[in-house]
Amino acid sequence: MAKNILILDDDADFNNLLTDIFTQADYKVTSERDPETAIEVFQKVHFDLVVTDQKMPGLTGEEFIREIKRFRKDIPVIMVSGYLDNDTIRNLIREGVGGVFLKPLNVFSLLKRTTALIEESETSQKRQALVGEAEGTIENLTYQHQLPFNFRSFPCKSPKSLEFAKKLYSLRNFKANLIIIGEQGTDFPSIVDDLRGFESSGDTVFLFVESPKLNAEGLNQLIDQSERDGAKRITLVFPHAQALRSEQKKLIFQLSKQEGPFVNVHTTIRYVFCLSDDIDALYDRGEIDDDIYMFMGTSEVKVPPLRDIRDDIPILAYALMVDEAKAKGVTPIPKFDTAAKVYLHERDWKENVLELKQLVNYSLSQADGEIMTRKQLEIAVENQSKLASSDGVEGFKLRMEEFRDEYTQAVHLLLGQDKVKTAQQLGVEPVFVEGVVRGFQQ
Amino acid sequence: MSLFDKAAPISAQPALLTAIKFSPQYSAISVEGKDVDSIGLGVLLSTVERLSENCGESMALGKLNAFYSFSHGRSFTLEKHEDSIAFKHIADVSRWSDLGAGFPNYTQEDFPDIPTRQEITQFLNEESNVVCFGFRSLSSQDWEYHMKSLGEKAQRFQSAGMVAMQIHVLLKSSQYPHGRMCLRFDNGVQWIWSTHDDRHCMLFVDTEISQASLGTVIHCGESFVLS
Repeated sequence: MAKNILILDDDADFNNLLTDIFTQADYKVTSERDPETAIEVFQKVHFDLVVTDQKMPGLTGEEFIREIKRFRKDIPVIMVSGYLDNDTIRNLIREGVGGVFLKPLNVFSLLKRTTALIEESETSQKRQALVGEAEGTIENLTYQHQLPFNFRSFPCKSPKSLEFAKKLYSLRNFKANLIIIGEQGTDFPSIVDDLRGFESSGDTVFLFVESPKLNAEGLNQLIDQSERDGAKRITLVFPHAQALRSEQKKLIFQLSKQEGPFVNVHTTIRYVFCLSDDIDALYDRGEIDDDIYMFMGTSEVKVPPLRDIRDDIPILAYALMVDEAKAKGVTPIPKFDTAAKVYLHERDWKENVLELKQLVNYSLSQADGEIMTRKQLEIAVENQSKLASSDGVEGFKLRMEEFRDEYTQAVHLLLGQDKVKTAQQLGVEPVFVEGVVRGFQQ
Repeated sequence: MSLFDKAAPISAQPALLTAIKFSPQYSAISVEGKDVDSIGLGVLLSTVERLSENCGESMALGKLNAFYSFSHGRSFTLEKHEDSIAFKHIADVSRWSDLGAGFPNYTQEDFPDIPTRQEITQFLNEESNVVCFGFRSLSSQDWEYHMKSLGEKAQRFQSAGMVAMQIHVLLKSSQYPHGRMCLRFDNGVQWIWSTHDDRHCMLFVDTEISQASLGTVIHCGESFVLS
């Protein structure tokens, strides 16, 4: 988005020239010739930088700068003037003027300084925001999002997460089906927790149904148990809904119509489908068929990926850290220093909240003090990446080593408890199988 | 009293300070001169070129071919070629002919008299190759224009004048010569003379102009500076 610049110069020709130069450099320019008017405009519009002359009727540039800095102390200012004595220049620098351009004017330097000042100001604002967040705003894990309902999935510092929270809340009373769309690594359980929290009455049960458990018997057991527990309404949540097998989809249809194995179900049931992409895109790619497409309906909400809600990340990371530390009894709970927060803010979170969670949990396990530094996070990322790269054969070997005895015992049982056959199958000495089996018998 | 710039004696030989050949995108191809900031100059020249093009566009004069300015004994020239742009900054310049580029070699002896503002207006009105002209004082901001045929050109003249003033302040604040400017376009030539107290005379003439007519134009412009 174009940066916004206010130009103040009473000389119409020079004002026009500066306006032209900055407009040509893709800035959005507001030009004023009267300092008093410029102050009024400054109070109404957010500017990224101000360019002013010194010698003007009414207020001098120096006085004008003092006035606008009363409203925004951190506004970057450049002064362009024909002549300034050394005392004035010293005063201007003391007032926080970021650039003083005297004649001869160098357009290139002026534009370069403008870019640098705006960038410096933005970085400083981000750092200030991050430091501010470290100063206790999340100490008690209450996000300061000012929403009139509880919402824990995101701190909602970013417009997109705030919009998401509001939309999810507006859909809380969905009648039959709700689609939650989130990219790889979206923390669906946390979002469903929030959805559950929106319920004013406690008689709705939310049940996560993982694909392997989705069969008639399993569903009936879940529903029976909920009914026995007094549930008046059940919300079934299907993570990875696009991966459901056709017989599983058929079961969901039957359940919705209380047919087949579900003729005895009388409780109201709602369905939440968690998808990795827009339902139309999944349909176009053939990942969901006509029936499920029609069944899922149109009530949908899209979870913003972390890259779109960067201002949320450091706060969210700290909240996750506190949760994990409490669960594991870790004290003191380390706090991220500013550099660590900047790192969290800027990192490319391809695996979204689950990646952030993994990093936080791993870092916490390695923590050795009250402060979590950027270096510690970088090391944690590096170590995690090593672990990930050891996946495949090496990773499998490592995991198999962990469950070596159980695997040997299972093969032994499958082969009719024949130790020799087991040893041949596994390519080990019979004495090894003997030892493992004996261990299990003890 | 001389009608020509007296910062350099007429007998002096112009001395090259800087010469840069740029690509059309203003990357320096060759540089002559001491301590030359070719990047900064490239940005300045691209701005001068763009503003000049805007002037030409206002008056429907086509593409810019060259920009010349001189005052205080120095000249500033930008000439556009097919695949390059040539910039020169020259010292000890006292008359238009020192810039080369086909400017006539008039000396002060050719213009012994200095016409008044009223006479300047009359000369320019009578000169058939002058399409339109105008004057502007610092206090008025607007141009007092004189045209052979009025109509929509009046507004165009004001627009061109406004942009010309931007070029003037750009060169002035960059401490380059700005008192006399000549912009050559495909379909006409724009001249601007400025006084030390920021009064300006701007006129547009035909591309094909006789030496005598050009003499009248220059005579009027130089007289305006002294009036």
